[in-house]
Amino acid sequence: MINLKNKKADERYLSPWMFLIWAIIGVSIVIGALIFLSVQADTRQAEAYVLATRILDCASSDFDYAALTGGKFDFYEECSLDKNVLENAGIFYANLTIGEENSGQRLQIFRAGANFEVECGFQREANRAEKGFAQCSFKQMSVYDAKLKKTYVLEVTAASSQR
Amino acid sequence: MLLKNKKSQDLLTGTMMFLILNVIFFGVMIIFIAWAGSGAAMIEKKEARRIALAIDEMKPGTELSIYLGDIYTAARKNHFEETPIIIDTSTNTVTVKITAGEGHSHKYFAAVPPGAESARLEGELLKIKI
Repeated sequence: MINLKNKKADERYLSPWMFLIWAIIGVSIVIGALIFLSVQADTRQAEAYVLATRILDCASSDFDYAALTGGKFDFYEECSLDKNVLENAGIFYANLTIGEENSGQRLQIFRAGANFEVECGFQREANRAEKGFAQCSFKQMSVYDAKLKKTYVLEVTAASSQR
Repeated sequence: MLLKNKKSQDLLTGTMMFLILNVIFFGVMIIFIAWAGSGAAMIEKKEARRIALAIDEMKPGTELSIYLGDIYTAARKNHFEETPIIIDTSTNTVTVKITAGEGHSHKYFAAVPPGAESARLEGELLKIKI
């Protein structure tokens, strides 16, 4: 016969475990809430988009291929971008290329900031944003040069990793 | 009448205690989530980023006015008397502080010229000119 005298499975012995489980649940809820709220305030994607739009609008305004590729076009001055922040802060990236419309060749005419090229390239190929990477924005625009009577394609990639 | 078996009373007390503790626990969780979402740190972070993004979106030659009433209200609630917004044009940084802590700083990439004319506070209005 089984000895049933020593019955320690009483509620008062189970309650420390119950509080431990509640503590684990509570901590999980706290961590989850903090992570959720942090994501709500993440503006990296918006910053990358604004930077890409700014550079593209600036380069395409009164488009002049010779001026853009001549090496004398100061993107920082013309687009009102702060050189110190873009170059030295390590949290922004921008890359602008130009090429003829039906040509696959692209000429880089502006590059600034940290090297997020690989991260942006990966996310573009995978067609999804990786939360741990810088957030990128890719934009493209066709522009017409009235002097040369040719159409060109401007492609800009911009990224922000500022948390 | 035999009243030895009082299990029904123990069960009721135990269940009531369990329910009360559950209500307290989930109440604390809900209060925490509401507090974290409306807390000073979150407000500072959101407002600093909002202002930095607004500056970045400015076209050259434009002037931007941002109403900061919500930030001033939050600062007053926390009994914070200092100016809650600081725009540092030398480091391109927006800092929002509504408590006596470090606040939250966020960088912007637009070129705002240095000087008081470019970034100034007029009451609860922040005026930026680039």
